Amino acid sequence: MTLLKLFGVLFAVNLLTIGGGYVSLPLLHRFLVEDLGWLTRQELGDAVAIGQLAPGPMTIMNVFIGQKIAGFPGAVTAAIATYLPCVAVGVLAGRSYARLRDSAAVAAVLRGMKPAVVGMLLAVALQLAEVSFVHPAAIAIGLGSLALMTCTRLDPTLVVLIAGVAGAVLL
Amino acid sequence: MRTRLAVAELDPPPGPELSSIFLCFLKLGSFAFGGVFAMLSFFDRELVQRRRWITADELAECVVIGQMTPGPPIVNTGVLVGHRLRGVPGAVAATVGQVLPGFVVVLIVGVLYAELRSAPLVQGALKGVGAAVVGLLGSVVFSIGRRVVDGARTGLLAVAAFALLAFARANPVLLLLGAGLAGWLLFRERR
Repeated sequence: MTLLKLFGVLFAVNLLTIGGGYVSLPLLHRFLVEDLGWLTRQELGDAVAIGQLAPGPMTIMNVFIGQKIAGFPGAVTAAIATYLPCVAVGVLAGRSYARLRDSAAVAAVLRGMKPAVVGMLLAVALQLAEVSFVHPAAIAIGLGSLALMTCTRLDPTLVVLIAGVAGAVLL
Repeated sequence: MRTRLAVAELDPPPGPELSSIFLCFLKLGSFAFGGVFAMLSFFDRELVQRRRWITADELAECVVIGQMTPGPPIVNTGVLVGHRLRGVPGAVAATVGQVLPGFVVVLIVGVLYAELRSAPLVQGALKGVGAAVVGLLGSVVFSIGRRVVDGARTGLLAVAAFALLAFARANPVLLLLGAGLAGWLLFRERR
C-alpha cells in the first residue's frame, strides 16, 4: 500500500514538473513532508544534498527518499515512478517534435509556469532555512554557498562537499 | 549473388545495438556531474564526435524538446536520443544506463546515512550540507528568476505563487496548473 502510494505520488510529481530536481521540490515538500509525514524537512534537505553529490540527474534523490520510506523496494519503486514519465512523454514528444517546438500555446503555458516555479522554490528555500539556519555558523555556510554559487562557476557538487567539511568542523 | 550482397550492404545500418546504447549512457551517467550544460558537453563529445550516432543538429533538437517535457532535461535528452537510435527499446536502454550509476551511489549513501547519522562528525557535516542546500536553492531562484521574470506580468506570477505557497499553503499542483493557464491567457497571442 505504501509502495503504491509512493509510486503514485512520485509518478504524478514527475509528470507535472518540467525542468527536473529543483522544480519538483515544492511538490515533494507538500506531499511527502506536510501531507503524508513520511519525511522530515531535514531529511528532504539531506535528499537534495545527496542528489547533488551523486552522479547523474538530481532527481536521483528520489531513490534516497524511496529507500528512507520503504527500503530497497521503495528505492526501486521511486526510480521507476521518477523516470517512467520521462520515457513515456519523451517518446510521444519525439514523434511530434515540430508541432511542439512551434506551438504558441505550449510556449505561452510554459512562460506562465516558469515564474511560478521561481516563487514556489523561494518559499521552499525559506521553509528549509527554518530548520537548518539554527546556528550562526550554519547561516554563514548557507550564505557562503549562495555567494559561491552566484559569484563563481564552482560546481554545486563541490559546494556541497565544502559545506559538509565546514559543518563537520564548525557545527 | 554477389551483386545482391553488395546491394544489401548499401542499406542504411540499423543503428547501434541496444547493448552499446546502454553502455554508452552508463558511461555518460557515471561521469557527467554538474548541471545540464556541463553534462551536455559530455553528450556532445560521446554521441556526436566520438561515436557519430547523431549529428550536432539532432542533439540540439533533442535538447530543445527535452526541456519541454516532464522530468530532468538531461534524462529527457537521453530518452530522445535513444528513441531516435532504436525506438522505444532504445529510449529505455538509454534511460536505465544513464540513471543506474546514480541509483547505486544513492543506495549506498542511503545505507551509510542510516548507519552513521548519529555520529557527531556526520551530524555536523549534515547540518553544514543542509545549510548549503538553502544557499543552492537561493542561487537557483536567482538564476532562473533572472531569465524568466522579464516584466510585470511574469513578476506578478512569481510573487503570487510565492505568497500562495508560503502564506496560504495552496496546493502546489493547482498552483502550477493555474500558472500554466494564466500563461496561456496572458501570452498566447504574442508570437
